[in-house]
Amino acid sequence: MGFLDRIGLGRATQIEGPEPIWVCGRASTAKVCRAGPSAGGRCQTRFECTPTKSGKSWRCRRPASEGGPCEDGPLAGGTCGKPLEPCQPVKTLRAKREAVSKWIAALTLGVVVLAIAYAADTSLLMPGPITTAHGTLGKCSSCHTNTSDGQFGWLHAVVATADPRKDSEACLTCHKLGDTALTPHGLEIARLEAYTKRLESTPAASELPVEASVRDAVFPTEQAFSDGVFCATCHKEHQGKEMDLTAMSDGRCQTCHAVQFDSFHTDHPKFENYPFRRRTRINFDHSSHFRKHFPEWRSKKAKLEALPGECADCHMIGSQGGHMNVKPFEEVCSSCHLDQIVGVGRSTGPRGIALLTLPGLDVETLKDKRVEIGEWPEEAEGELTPMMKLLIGWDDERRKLLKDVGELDLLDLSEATDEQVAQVGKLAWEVKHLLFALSTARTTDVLKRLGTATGMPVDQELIAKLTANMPRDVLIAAQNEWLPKLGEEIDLARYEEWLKSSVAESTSLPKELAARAAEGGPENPLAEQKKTAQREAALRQAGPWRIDAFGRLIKGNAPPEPEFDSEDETDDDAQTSAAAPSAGVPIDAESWAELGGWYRQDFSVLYQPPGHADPFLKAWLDFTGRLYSKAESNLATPVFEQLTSEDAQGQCTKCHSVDAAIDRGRVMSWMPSSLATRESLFTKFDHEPHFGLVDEKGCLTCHDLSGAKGYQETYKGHDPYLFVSNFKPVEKNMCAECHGNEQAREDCLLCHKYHSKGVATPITATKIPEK
Amino acid sequence: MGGVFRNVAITGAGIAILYWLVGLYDTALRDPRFMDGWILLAGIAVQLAFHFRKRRPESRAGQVSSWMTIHIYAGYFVIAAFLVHTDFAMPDSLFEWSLWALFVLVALSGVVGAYLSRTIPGKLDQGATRVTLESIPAMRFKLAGEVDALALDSVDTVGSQAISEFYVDRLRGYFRRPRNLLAHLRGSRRPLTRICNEIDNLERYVGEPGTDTLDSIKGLVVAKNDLDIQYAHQGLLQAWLFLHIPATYCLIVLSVFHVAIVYAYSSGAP
Repeated sequence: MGFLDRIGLGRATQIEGPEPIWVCGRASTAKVCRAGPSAGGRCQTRFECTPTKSGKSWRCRRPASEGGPCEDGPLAGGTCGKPLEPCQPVKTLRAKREAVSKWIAALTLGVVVLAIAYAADTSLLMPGPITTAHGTLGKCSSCHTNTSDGQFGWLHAVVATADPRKDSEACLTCHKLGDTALTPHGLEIARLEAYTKRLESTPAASELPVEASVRDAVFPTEQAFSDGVFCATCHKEHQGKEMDLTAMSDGRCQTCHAVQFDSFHTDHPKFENYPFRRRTRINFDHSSHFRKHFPEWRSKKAKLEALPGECADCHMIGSQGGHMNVKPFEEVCSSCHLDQIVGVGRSTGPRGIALLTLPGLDVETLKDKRVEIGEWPEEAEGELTPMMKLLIGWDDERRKLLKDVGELDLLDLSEATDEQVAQVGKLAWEVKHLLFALSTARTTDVLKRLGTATGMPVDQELIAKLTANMPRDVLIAAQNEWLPKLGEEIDLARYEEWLKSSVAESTSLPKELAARAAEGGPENPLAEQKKTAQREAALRQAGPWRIDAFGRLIKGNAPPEPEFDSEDETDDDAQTSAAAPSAGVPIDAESWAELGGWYRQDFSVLYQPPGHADPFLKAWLDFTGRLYSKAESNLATPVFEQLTSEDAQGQCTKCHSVDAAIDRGRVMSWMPSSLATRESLFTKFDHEPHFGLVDEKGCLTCHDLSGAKGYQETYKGHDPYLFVSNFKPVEKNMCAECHGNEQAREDCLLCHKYHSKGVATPITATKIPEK
Repeated sequence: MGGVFRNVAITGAGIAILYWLVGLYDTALRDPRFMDGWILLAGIAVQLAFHFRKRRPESRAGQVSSWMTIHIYAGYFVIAAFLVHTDFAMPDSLFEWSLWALFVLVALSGVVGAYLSRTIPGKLDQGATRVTLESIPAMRFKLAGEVDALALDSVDTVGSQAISEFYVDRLRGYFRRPRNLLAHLRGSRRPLTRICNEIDNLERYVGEPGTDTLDSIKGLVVAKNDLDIQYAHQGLLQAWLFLHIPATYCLIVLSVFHVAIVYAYSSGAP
């Protein structure tokens, strides 16, 4: 008999028929009942024979083995005359076995029920211990949300429909993955679709493995996970305390992917421009620095201590070991670039940025055409700054005004029409109102017009940065020098405006003018107009009126008529003077402000950046950059363009790239790339373990500094994804030299991560105890 | 033999396909324990079908011997399915240990039982005529009566009590119940040889008439020995089922609990 026969796999043998349940009780003796027991276990033998009728008589049928027919024969009625004592049938082994089996099964059922009922908890039912990290979760219902507490709290869950989303939400209580936690890779669907579309057009290094094809046909994943990829899909608990819940086979990683393959070093698709997805945020041309600038300084024997000799002089490994960060500007760049930022040696234009400029106007033409603009210095020759235009053009009417006068040469209005000249007059008053408001009203109230103009939120913090905490004295001094009568002119203008409105609408005198109104206010509008004209003439004859540091109108000589109830105090101490410092100090304002800050020069109020990372420049660039558009009516665009031009003060865009953001204007890249800004959501690379493996080439082993030319050209545009890198992309073969062939690891999770946006465990919300 | 290799090949292929399918299922982000668990349960159900077929002799659903073959092949497949289902790992909790232990008991007893059911009938066929286990007590009773009569008659025929005393000392107990079962299972003839030698040794004490009696007694002793061989082997054929079947019942009970618990704590993820 062969081995297969011996273990039952041979030819089929004849099986004996089914055994009865009962056998005769006299089976162990020679007097076995012939009939045998019934199915119910009762002996069927009553007599020695079963007589048969032969004609009219009955015949004994006792078998020869038992003595043959008896002498007496059957009784008259056909009954055998020799009764037998019935036996007590016994169960066969098979029947006994069946009974034992049923009893043991019942016992098992009882033991299990009792064990569950009287166990301390439901850990009896656990398929295995949970990982150490989850070891303190005492209740099964903490994760199995379908069950409830109690020994039999799981019973209803047998028939209830489980919702995998609820169990996943239990996980997400501690492990925060954002709003798209249950989508593949935690990404938005639209983004996934875009990636898929791109990858489907990527030529794979090899054909789709046969196993993958069969799997996709037999167990398609798309529909199975249309509701989401739940936590338990990949993370299986109850496999031991030391189990790595994040372990995942390569097959499982790839099952949903358009590109699937067997091993990294042979079949992984080639890297596409790795690790470069976009141009660097900081415009730093390695090639020109290494080959031109550093050698130049070395040849001059200047800044020798600041010139880097190794990559590590500028780069440092990040806190998480993966990303190589750039050292701060102050440490690696300032020795060469700080002078450019603060304007040392600037050849064109002022070193400061003009926030406010009194534009030059053709005063003569305005006078000829009887356009009243009050006092205006004829020496002013500058143009309205883009920032002023943004501050003035806070509504459609004013923007139209700016647009109308924008085409004119304000210093020569001889060719302008009367209407255009009138518009210039309006502009002059707008400038005056702006200057008056900045010096008398709260800065936040005035700068809030930026919010009105742009629809952007403008808070105190932003306003502080946009004004660089400009001292009020700067404005007052400028105003006193440029437009000494500004205060009274504004008051007069408001009074006339009130007059018009009061005649039309019978409104009461504005409060701020009430103290200056004659005799409690006008009763006869016509008479008041005459008084107004007289007043005006008197005011012109009155000495210079000044606005003191506290915003009070201070008269020089008293006016002929006390229409304006000027305040009696003649607080000479409060008088301020915008006069230049006493003679004998030859320094000009710009040179005085070499350390940065506000200063006044000619008819402009300027701001000199004190150094790198200036908040004023940053705030204006960020604010106007968000608003940037090509629309003609956009007043923020000229500001942005001024600050990002090649000769702009601060030279921010010399190094900080400007990206065009979708629906967001322009975005300044202030910081170099870091782990937080990395766009590669799926890959991770740790530099540190590789440091000991490179030869004398060091970083250049993988980062080949022979990239294509044209690095700088790409920074003229604003698409960060159109770029030329200083370095050649890292090729797959470089990695495959070690990762594969049973050397270093080559599994997917070594370089790729599933949760693209990371997993965070936020700090617990702990209420401050009150007692 | 060709049929055997065919069946083994089919079973082997089934196991290989099972292993491959489970691997595919796993990489398709499903939990393979659900799939191989149900396959395991289906295999056990196929095996249970043999049990029900045996109890329905009137059924026309194939021969019982064919069902037995399916039962055995399915058993090997189920063992493979069990190993895949448990991922070739040992259990971690009391309940799982119970399930595991019961399955191992059922599987091992099944393999041993398959071995016994293939080897024992052959051994029995080599000896005397096969008798049913239930008829053995009656036959033993009859043999005991015959040798008792011979012993009694020998007093007169032989003229001495040598044979009757020998009967009382050695043979009466021998014929009353089954003897030397372990030796018979080992295939040993030493007990028979020993008692036959004792009978032979008596010949010098009895005359020729006594020799005939002793020869008759020896024949009955040999018959009783054959009966004991039958009893030992057939008893073993029944006894292993006392382990296999009750353990199967317990396994089914625990399996039902296992399925209920698994689905109760399932997250519902594919």
